[in-house]
Amino acid sequence: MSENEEGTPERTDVRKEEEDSPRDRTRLSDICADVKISEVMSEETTVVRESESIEDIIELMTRTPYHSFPVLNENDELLGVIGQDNILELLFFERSHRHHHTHLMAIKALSEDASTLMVHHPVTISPDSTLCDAADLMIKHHIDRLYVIREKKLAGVVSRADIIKKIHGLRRQ
Amino acid sequence: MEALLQILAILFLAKIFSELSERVGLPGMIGEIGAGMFFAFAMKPDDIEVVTFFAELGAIFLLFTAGYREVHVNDLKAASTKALIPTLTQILFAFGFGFMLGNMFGFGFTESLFLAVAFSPTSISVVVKTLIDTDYLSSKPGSMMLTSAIFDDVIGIFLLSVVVSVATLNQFPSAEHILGILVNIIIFVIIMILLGWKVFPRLFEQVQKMHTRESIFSFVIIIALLSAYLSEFFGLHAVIGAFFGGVLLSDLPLAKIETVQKKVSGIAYGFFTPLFFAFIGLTVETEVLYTAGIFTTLVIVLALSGKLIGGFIGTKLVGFGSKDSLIFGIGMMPRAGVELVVIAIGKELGIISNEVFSAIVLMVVVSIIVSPILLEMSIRYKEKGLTEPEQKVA
Repeated sequence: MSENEEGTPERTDVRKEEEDSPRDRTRLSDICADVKISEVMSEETTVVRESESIEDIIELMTRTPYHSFPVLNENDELLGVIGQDNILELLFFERSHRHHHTHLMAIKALSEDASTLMVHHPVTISPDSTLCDAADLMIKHHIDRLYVIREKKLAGVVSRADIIKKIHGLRRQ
Repeated sequence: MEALLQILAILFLAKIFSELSERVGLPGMIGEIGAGMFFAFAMKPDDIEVVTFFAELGAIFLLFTAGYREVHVNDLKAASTKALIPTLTQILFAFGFGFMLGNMFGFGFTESLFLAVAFSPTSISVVVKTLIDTDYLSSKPGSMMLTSAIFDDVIGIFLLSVVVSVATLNQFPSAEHILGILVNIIIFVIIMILLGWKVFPRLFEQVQKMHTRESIFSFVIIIALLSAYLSEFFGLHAVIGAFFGGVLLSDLPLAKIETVQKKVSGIAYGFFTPLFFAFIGLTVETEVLYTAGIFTTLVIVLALSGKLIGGFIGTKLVGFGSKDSLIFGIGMMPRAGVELVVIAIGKELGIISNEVFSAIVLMVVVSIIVSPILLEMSIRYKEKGLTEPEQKVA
């Protein structure tokens, strides 16, 4: 944040905008109910195939800025998600506390392909759901991203950033 | 007020003893059992009705979380059928040894059956640390242990369902009775599958839209209790339903949101299961162990050797070498949660005596302490055999 001549913080653009058109919570709620997820989601998603090896996944993580990747089968159906968290947990399995040495974790730690490494239960949303639905899910349950499913196939991903970007656009209109 | 103090004291002691146990490299549950024994010795409580109730909930939550967090249906499908033979032989031998011991000491049919079922399951997580430390987790016997444990859990739960149903008859079951039990189990399973397939996903769609606080968490708990109740309704024990309910929720995205999982885990491991393990310790009668010394020793020896011999023979049958078979057999020896749930049920139903109960608790504790040590020794023995010829060449 920059400072003006008197040394007091200058108002940010957001603050200025709020004064120009006061933030109307009701209006935002109305708007979000009219925006479909298909308008917000990112359709170009980096995906992992179920048979890909742990080495390929680690390499992908070094090349892309994303924290998690959807795992798809050959029919492009979403099977699960692989994130940095669970890759780290499995790579350092031997160092983790006894509590984590469960049967399931041991099986995962031994596996080499995405289908066993992944977390099987990503939270999904339909492309016809609204922006309000996605925001509610994310806020209530601390979810970072939702996978958009159309006829069992992955149609896109909605992240918190996508929602903020959309709202930013709407507020500027 | 008395009950409040009891719960407070038991939970406090359980956590302190559990910490001590972890510090010396043993699972926390050993400390929790010890806390219960210490509580009984120091406080000599007369009325433990409230503790018993919480302990029953503890058993329900123990098996519910086992299903909810640890089982994944696809793992069962993927598990190699090659592991079926060693799994069946180790269960068969342990079960057979248990039943034989009951007969030797003149127990009735149902009590012998309970003893046999309590001998049957394995808790593989006890030896995972040893397998990691010795770099044997990914070895042939190591991965066979992990696969075998998948079947082991399911077979253990099935045996428990049958034995609880038989126990309520209190006599040798006729073909008609067995058919009745099977029909009950099948109806229960069909209802649960329908709930898990058609009802729960839709229910959670609606629950997540609710405005009331912690709605998803509450409904996960409601389903745990509902499944437990339903299984009791069909003549099975509550813990079986809880396990089943957990498995059904384990693949439901909205019920498995990370924040909800943490809350379920918190209430289970932070409150209910320590009370269950402490309750086991609280009800153990140590003096009985002295009077029934031979019986107790035989329980320990037969329960452990049943798994060892059965595991050894089974893996030999699928082509393992003797040393790998020995490692597998030892890896199958540890017992923990499910066995204690089995005997707690047996005691609650008035089928097993204090001697049997206390001897099995001791067997579980001994197996947890001894199995990792024996496993490490057997792995060293194999490694020694592998390095010696090289040394001779050098």
